[in-house]
Amino acid sequence: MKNRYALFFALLAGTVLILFANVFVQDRMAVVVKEDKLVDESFAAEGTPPIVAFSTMALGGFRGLIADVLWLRAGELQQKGKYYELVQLSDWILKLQPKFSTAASHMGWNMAYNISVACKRPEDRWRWVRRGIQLMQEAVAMNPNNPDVYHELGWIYQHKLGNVLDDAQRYYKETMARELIFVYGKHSPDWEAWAAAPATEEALRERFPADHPAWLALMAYNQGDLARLFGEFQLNGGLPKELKDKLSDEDASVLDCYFRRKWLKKDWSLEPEKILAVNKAYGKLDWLLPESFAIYWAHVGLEHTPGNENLALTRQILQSLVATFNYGRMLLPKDNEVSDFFLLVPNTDVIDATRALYKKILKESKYSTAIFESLYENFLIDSIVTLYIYSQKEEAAKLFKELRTETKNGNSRIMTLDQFVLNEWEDDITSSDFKQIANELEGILFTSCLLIGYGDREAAADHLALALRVYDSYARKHADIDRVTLPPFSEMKARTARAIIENYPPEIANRVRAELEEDLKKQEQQAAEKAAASGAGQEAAGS
Amino acid sequence: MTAFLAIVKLTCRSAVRSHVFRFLLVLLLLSIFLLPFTLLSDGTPKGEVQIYLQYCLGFAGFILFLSSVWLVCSEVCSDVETAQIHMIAVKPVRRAVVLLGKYTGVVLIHLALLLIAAVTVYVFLSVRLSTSGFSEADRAMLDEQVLTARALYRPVRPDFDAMAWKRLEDRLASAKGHGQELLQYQDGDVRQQAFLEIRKELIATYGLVSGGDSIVWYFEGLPKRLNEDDLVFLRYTVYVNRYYTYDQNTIRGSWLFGVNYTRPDDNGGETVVSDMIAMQEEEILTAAQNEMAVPVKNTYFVYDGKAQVGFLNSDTKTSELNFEEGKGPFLLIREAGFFSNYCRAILVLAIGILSVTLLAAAVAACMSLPIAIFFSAAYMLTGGLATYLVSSIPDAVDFQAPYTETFGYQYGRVLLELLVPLQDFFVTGQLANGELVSFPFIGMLFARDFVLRLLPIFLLGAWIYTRRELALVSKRG
Repeated sequence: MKNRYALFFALLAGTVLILFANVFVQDRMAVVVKEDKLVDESFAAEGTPPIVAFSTMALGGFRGLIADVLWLRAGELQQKGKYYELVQLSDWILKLQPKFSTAASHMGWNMAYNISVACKRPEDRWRWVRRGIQLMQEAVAMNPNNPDVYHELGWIYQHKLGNVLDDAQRYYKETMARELIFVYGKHSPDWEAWAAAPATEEALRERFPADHPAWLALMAYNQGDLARLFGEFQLNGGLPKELKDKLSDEDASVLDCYFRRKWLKKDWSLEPEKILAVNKAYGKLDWLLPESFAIYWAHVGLEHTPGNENLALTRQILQSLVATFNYGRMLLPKDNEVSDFFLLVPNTDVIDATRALYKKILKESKYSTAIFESLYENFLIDSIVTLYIYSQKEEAAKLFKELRTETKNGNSRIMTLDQFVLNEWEDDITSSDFKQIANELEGILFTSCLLIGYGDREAAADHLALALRVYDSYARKHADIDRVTLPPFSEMKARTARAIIENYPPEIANRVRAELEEDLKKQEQQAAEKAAASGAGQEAAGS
Repeated sequence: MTAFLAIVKLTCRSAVRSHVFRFLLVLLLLSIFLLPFTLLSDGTPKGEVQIYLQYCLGFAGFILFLSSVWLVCSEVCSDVETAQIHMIAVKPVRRAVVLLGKYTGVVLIHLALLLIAAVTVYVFLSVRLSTSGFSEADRAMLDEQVLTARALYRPVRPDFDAMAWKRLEDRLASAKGHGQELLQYQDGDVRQQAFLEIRKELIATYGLVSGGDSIVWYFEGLPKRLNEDDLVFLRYTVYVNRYYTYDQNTIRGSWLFGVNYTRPDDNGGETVVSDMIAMQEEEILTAAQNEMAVPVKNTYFVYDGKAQVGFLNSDTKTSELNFEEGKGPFLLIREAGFFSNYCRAILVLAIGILSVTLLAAAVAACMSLPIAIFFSAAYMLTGGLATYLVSSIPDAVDFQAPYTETFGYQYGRVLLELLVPLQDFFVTGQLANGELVSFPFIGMLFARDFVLRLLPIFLLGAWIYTRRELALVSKRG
């Protein structure tokens, strides 16, 4: 009996001790949960999305079974090539199993990659890529603390849309830019104004109380029905003229920004505050391009990971920054109007952020850094050459100094900046044959003429100067060999300009024609003289 | 007859008063009116129409099936459980007539609901089509591929058995010719094993086309009189390499089409000349379902109900292409209009309602309400799973599959012979794909599922109902 009491009291004491110890542990656990992002903050703040709450409560444990059946059906339909149900099935699966991020990632990737390429028409392909993106956006909303879904979403932008592996990649870029410019209203919106605009209907009502002239104008227009007005806004790409005329410029701007940020959030899940943060962190990005979106999602993903550390997301940012540096600015023939004649040129604004990220990775890497060192050196060299030929010689000089001091690059120590840049090209020239050098020269000339066409005269002049230096250097080295002599520089330039005039839209062609009028006339004159001379020669031979 | 009609009338009245029936009715209305606004398609006009047809009709049919099972079980069982049956039993009405009356009442009410649902969905679709602003090209594609009723024709399957026996005999003869008498092949089992191996090899290599080679498929039983303007479509999926994967590639090849035309002969008559013409080489996406209109006038292409289609693999870089059996090529020929096909799909759903109600009535005649509902649902679901079991082990048909798979396959086949799978009655997928729901198919469905499988169960149920000691059941309840 005694023993039984002893055991009972011992157990009781143990239990009390454990409960007491729990008091100390609980606080620590709460901190860990918060720090390690073990709960979704947005779910905690806003509550679980209604559809997820409903399916969880109504279906209970059967959710998984139903999701399995839908998954099997989706697979079977895909094998049969019947894709039209897949969007609906994927949506249901995601809503039934919102936390099964691997399944969501697979479905998004499947739509964007596998199903899209099963379509022949680029518009159909784009539709599937867009569906994949939308599904991943939803998956991100359901799993805000899961870095994998951010990475998968960013990957579709970075690899599927940004890269050149798909036959329809130019169509994707063009369509994405066209859709976005409709939302933005112009190529580069004022993100600060967007961020300052009310984010919710409640905030808008606070800004425009019932007696505010703007609200009275809204009431007069459609009884203050903001949902209907938003529908009209999306249809027209702006506020209806009838309403706009009744609003002051400032109020119209606030309302315009309110609807646009709402639209951007609805269709692309982007928020202007975060865009500003990304621009601040990495340099001014062109928000028509997929790489900017990849950086955005990787950046937001990092914010949701414990300690803001995630190797895959960091790499995604770095890779996208390098791509942005190379092709991260979209030039359009007509301002704010996207056409398939867009031109992608380097975005030098991201150089500092890219360098900083390279340095961070090199500093923090626990493994071999040789590859990253080499990548960093190459990036610096590319940056120097690009800055040099895009009229930013001071910046190029700074990087050149860094190349000299922080890397093992030998040339930078014994050459001036001018020599170094030309040397980079001369390397190509020396190792290139006649055909290759002609192609390269034509490439630089083509870019130069195109930059004229897109209105970037300064960069065009720098490209032209570089082309002339490359031409002279080649001509000097091969002056004694007739069969590999290049045509006169002006002729090459005029020929390239003519190709652009004949093939590009009038806006571009007219600018090129106006700028290079003299060269074109000169070339026409020379051609006429040549033809006349050859005609006279033939006549002489005939007589 | 008066008694029968009175029971029908009473059943209908009682049904309308049932809470569960009202709930299912609300669900039905929701599925018709709200579902179209919540469905997500792939964004193409074709996808929109397809998903609308498939889901709206499918949901409506499913809810009607559930409702009819619930209602007939409730009507039959509750009478027994609440002892109401005694009120009828004392009247000069045979119990079988009571059961039949209840069945008829439930069926009539659900057929009326089905008709309303079908008309509403059709009207919605028509309004949607007329207000959607689809382009001419999209509209034409819809008319050709969705809002139509095309019959699907498969190529004639070679007689693999005969081919395998012949090849085996040839090999044995060849061995004998070389002075090698393979005596072990005189044993029946060894001979059978060799035959199966050869057959397996023949099937696996049947659709293979090496680079530079071509293959021809023969089609028979096509309609002999085709409208000149109607297009014949070719549907196919091709894979790269023998053991196909779902990796997609682009290959190059040309389709060949048989043409038949008449030419005057030496005797002053006309001779039919058959030839194959090759289309221009094109890029083809592998591991994806492709569809194209046959670019030859159908009067030349289809002759006497026969046609030939060939393929020339001009992609010499890829080792071989695989037109796996069962994935095409198929010919699709328009044989009826969309409205006609729509009515046929509704007719199949109606047969479904007749069938599930018949089963539920039979079960309810001898069991309590929850067990009757559970049994009916289990019967249908098991039938559905059996279909999945059989279709998921296709290799067991032609190849010597592992024992477990063969057992699973055969078990599924046995279940399919005994049970009625619920999905048999859902031909909305076919309708949405513009595939013909043929009358022979509907007739077969009615005869096999309703008459041969469910009617005997109903008769058995009715017999038990007439023999059942209802007073005891009522007393217990």
